[in-house]
Amino acid sequence: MRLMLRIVSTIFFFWGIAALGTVFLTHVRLIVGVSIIIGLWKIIRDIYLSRWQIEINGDSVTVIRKKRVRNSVCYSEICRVQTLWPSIRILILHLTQRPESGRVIGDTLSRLAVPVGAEWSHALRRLWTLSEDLLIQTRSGVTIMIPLGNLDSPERRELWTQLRLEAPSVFQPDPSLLKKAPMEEEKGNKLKLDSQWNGALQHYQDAANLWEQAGHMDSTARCFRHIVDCHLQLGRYTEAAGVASQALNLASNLVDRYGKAYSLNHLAAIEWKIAGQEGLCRALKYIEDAEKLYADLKMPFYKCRMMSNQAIIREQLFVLTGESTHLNKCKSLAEEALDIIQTELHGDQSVNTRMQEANLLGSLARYKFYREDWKDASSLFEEAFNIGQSVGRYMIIDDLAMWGRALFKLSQNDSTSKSDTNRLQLLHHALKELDNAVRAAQSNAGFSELIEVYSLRADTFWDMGNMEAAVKDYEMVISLLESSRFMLERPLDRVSLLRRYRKVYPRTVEALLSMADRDSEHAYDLIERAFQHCERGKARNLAEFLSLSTMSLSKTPLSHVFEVAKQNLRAAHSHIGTLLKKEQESYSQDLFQAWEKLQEAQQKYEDISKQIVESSTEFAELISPKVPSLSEIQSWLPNDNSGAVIEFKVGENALCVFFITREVDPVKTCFMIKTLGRKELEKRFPCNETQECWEKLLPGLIEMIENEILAAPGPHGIRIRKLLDMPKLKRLVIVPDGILHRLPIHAAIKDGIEVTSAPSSAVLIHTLLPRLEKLLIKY
Amino acid sequence: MPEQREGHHIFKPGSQAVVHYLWDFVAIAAGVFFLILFHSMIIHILIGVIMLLFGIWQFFSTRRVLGTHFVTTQDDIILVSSIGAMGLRWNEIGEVLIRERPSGMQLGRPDRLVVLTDHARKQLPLNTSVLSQEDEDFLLAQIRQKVQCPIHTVTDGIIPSRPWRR
Repeated sequence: MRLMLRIVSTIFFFWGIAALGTVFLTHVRLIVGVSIIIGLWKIIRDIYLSRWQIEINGDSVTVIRKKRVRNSVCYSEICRVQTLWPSIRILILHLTQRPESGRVIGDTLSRLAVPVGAEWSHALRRLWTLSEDLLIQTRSGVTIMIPLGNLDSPERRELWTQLRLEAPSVFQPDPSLLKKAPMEEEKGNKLKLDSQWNGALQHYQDAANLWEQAGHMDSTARCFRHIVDCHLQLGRYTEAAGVASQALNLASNLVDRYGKAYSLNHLAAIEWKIAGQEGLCRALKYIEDAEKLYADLKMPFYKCRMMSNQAIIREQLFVLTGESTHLNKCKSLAEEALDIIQTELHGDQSVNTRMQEANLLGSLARYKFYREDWKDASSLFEEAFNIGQSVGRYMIIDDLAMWGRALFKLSQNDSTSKSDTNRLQLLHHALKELDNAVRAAQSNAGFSELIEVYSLRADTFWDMGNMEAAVKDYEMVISLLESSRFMLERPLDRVSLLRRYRKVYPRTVEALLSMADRDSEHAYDLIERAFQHCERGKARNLAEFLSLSTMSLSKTPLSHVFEVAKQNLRAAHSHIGTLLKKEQESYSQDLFQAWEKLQEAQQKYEDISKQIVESSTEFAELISPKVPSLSEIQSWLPNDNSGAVIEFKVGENALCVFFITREVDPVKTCFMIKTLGRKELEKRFPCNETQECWEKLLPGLIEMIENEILAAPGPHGIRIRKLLDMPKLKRLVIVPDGILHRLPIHAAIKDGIEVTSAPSSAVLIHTLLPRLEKLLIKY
Repeated sequence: MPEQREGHHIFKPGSQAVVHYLWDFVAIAAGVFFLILFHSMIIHILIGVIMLLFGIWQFFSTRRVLGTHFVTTQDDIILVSSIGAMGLRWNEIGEVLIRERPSGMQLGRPDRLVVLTDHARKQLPLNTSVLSQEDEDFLLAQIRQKVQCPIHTVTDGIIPSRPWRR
């Protein structure tokens, strides 16, 4: 009815003018034409506006359009109200101040969001309808535009009265807030540039509060992003996650694509730091979304950075899972991103772009490194290093170590085609880079980097045959791993990350035994160290097994709480994953709550882990055992030499044997059988047969154990069989390792000797000791 | 008496306020008259168009004034129109000026204007002549009661007389 009245009045008014002009005036085609056009426009506009339905209630206002759009805002949530003219003023200010607002703080481009009312969609709608629309923004950043042209005067007055009475602060903002907030933010920026993260954090938090009070949610979101930067630098990932979710939520509601992409990148960085393998997959999703947004915004540098981040995540997934598809994807992403730098960013010599190029070359070099293409890897590492040096920045420490390792491998592999001088030069270069990496790691590196760098240098020394140097570095890696298992990032990946360094233990044992073989003066000490590392390695395997298994450790309350905390943490991670899958593009309040739950679960997990290590000696002993010494084992063996322990450690190139009796010198009974490395043992004893096959194979297998293991010669002609033939020997404890667990060694031992098995000497002592002590007290 | 809602008073134009349109229709009628009867001379057409436009502008202006409500709350006085709302806190008002305009030709002309000024010199003009006499007295009494500053009254007319409203 109202629409009909409007159309009729328009026809009468404009077309009436046209009719009057035609009757009374001559040469008035222009007036007639303009009147008809304006009349037509007015009718179309009225039809368009009539589709909007506005419900003004006592506590909220609702805008409905054809059942498709239904936005409701409570008056108490409103933080800003704008009519057309203030919006135009803000748009002009935004356009004139744009160069200043798009400034760079540190390495980061800080860009203001398009202000409220200046978005294209709103501006265009207002322009064509010439309607004094009312823009309302809530504290969650949601903006609603109410077409006032569709309301008659009483309805408009009702709306204004409700707004003025229910949200009075919106109409009378405190002007001092708008002065204080930018000042606080500026102070935060200065401290952030000086890397004073705690101070900057405080100022940014104050600024965010002030902006929020003033109702400038775009600026609040910007401050939130700075806060996340500070939290990340301070290593407070859970706090960062909460604020990043808020920032993302705000940016989504504000339709601030740049802010949204930035926050997605933050969330990905947090996932990278704290989450497990599932978290890395979520991080990939976040970054893919961010990449699309940067592509829409036509920001090739940031698009390129997102691709680089994806490549790094893919590489990490490859490290964790060993799936080569991740590595191939990493390569294609890095190549694509490099292509963007060489085409779209061609000629850009800024530090950030050059460093991005170096990072991408580093990713490609690591791909080649994993593929054992040493030549390409070293040339790519060199290229990346040169770029880094040209802009005065150094390479990533891990890359430096990998470069050294690749150069070493190159010097080994290309021995036929290169002269000795070249090989020596390469070797020298390799060792120089490895030393540089270690030096850099010692002064400024994280826990994981330090382990990786030492491990790579030790591997190189191992390959060179420099056992002394290899042992020194491997022992450093072991001491780092043993010092704190909770220092590694991503607690749920801890086991997978630690597994990378499993080889360190057998290599150290092997190297120490080989040194003992050569250095008779220090042989005992070296054997003692080898034995302790052997025990540590076994305890590590056991701890990993327990950590991976779903069975509960024991019925103690603490272990139960630990299991529950672990389950909760996994559940919180998977809940976020489910939400993201379900919601696709939107990041709602539920996600924020999920993040809060994850924070709680994470905190609880860490607290309980620490509590267990501090209070539960049994668990602490299990995951970080106090390893027994050779003399300790000897002291628990019978005085008459009737008991002995034979402990095995399967090395890469040799089988390490520790035969321990009460009185015999371990220097004579602890040795390596060099012909029986891991691969050799697996080749000779393929243990994948079914039970039926075993029954048929058993006689032959026992004979093989007898000939290949027990009778295998060690240094100076010493053999296990010879040791077992000691006349007084009545009881034997076998501590197998690796494949030996599946071999019936006991069956190959002569009758008359009682044989028992134990997972490790430490476990043997920890099980026996309490019982023996009880017996001693009793008698 | 003004409308009351949740402790607020809403002052709406009285039924007599339509008389404010009187002078607008006079101007429109004069413009149309000139255009129809004297359209052969360009000067008459010009006068007609100017009067017609003036009348239309006046008409919309009056319409807006008559579409204005005053809302008083415990803390504020608010002027609500169809294009927005302006308000002042009672405790921020630093000056009140009441302008009386009784002139010779009073019927349909605004005869009283109350200008409230805060400490930051922001003004809130209230055309109280659109209210009924009773509502206007109530509003003025509220203003006198709530503000804590001197109230000045200025009479603009040459011949003082009583307001035309009843």
